[in-house]
Amino acid sequence: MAGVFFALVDCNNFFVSCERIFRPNLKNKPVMVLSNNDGCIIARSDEVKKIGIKMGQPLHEVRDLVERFGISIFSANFRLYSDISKRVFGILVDYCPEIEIYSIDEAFLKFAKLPTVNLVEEIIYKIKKDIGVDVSIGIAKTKTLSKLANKFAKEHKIGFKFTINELDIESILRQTKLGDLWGIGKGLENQLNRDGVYTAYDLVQVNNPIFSTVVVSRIVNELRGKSALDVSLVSDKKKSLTMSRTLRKVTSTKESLYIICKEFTYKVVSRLHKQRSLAFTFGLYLRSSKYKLGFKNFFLETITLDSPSCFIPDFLKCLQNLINKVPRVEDGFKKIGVVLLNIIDISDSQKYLFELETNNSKSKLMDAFREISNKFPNKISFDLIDNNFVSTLQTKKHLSPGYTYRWSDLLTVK
Amino acid sequence: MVERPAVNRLVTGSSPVRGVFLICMVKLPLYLELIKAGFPSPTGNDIESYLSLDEYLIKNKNSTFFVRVSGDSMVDDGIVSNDILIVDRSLEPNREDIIIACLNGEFTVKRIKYKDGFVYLIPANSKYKEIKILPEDDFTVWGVVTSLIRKIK
Repeated sequence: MAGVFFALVDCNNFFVSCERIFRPNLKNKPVMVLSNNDGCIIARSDEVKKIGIKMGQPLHEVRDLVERFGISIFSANFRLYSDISKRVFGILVDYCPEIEIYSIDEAFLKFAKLPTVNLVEEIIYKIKKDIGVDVSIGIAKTKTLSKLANKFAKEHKIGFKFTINELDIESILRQTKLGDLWGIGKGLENQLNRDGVYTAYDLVQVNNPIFSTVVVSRIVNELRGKSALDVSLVSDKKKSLTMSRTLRKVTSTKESLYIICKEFTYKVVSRLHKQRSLAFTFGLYLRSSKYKLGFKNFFLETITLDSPSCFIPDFLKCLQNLINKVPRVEDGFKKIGVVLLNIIDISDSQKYLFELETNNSKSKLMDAFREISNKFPNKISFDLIDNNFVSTLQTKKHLSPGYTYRWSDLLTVK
Repeated sequence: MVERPAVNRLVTGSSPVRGVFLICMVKLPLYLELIKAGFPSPTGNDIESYLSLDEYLIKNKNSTFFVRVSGDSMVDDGIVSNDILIVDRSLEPNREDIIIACLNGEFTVKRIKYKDGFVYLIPANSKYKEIKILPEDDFTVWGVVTSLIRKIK
């Protein structure tokens, strides 16, 4: 892979930026975005960071600071953020077809040669102009280094872009703590610290392939400039999961629809859980045998959860909700299916959820369910005992309007 | 055979507004064509499968946003309260374009004018004065209005 360069493009304070697109009066004012149930802070503007409020801090702890500094609070508006995200990636794809979307606001671009300063500046300018979002770009020969370069770009604020070349590498690695490296968490960092390895530079010097793990070896190779991770254009993890059947006999009652779709839901959500992913959106689609629904003969509706899930009851609730929206069709439906969309990896869920405990216990419950299901196939089922068992409605007292997805919420101009 | 509701296209000849008013926003098949294997269609490549408003009105979906008009500052240009404007943020405003601007933290829809080295925002209603943008103003062009949508019924 000689000459190849990776560019890690990520949006600065993404959720805050999304809100500011439609609120220009908040440009230099302190702004925060809250997690589900308005519990913790999951995004802070630079002004809020200066005040000293930490990422993940519960809102109730900082109420007085909110008052004192006039901090604007927003509940997480994931539908909005996901729409803005699509637009950003839509622009990036035009500049570099080899793009790997890493999270809602980050992507790796793979270039065959070092991108020029003009090109990089053009990308930054275009995203700012066309959408209104600031991005930072870090460029290097490997993904791990490009992540590092991106961090530098943000911290040193030199025009939001930074390229790591051969000359700088050593000094940068000396300045980088292990925990700042992509792929090294707190636990591993502590372990390596105990072995006397503190900076990325130390790691590259002392790493002995005989003793280190696959992960650490890979990181070290990447730090040395040898790319060990390519852009995954087609992840083996599915980005959407669907299950559908064309029925021999049409079905028309809502009850029979529910029974069939419930099975599909179990199967797709189990697949989702198995690949250690979470999904935001659940969809139901039905096709009748003839042109009966106006000149449409199909029904397709989706529900997007406020926070991603791999928990069957969450999606059963969506299913019930959607089935109630299905119109009456005399001849019934011939083809029915369910689909899961907006799938993210469970390791990325940190950005969206701080109720880690709830999700850990839901995940454990799902693990147990799958284990038992495997032992006793088709004999175990979830059911919604009462409607309060899982609530997809969350407290969102400070939700911004649906500027890009609801007609009644459009931005007003005078 | 599918019933096609009538669609009237009203274009106000005298208005300088570039827009199309439609009675209903509906996807219609232009006509249905069955192409049997081995027989080339006599119409060749001219078949369009349906009229899509998205395709007609939106050139760059990444930079296109919809906004709603409030007030009467542009009535003389045929833009009235509750209209929806399609705004493209990727376009550079040419003189006399209708734009959405952010002026001191507020959104406004006006015609842009460049005169004597200054930018002006011109309303289309004699009740309102033109606005000269001064150096101390916080002013940006948010986007250029490309179309107007109004439901009549």
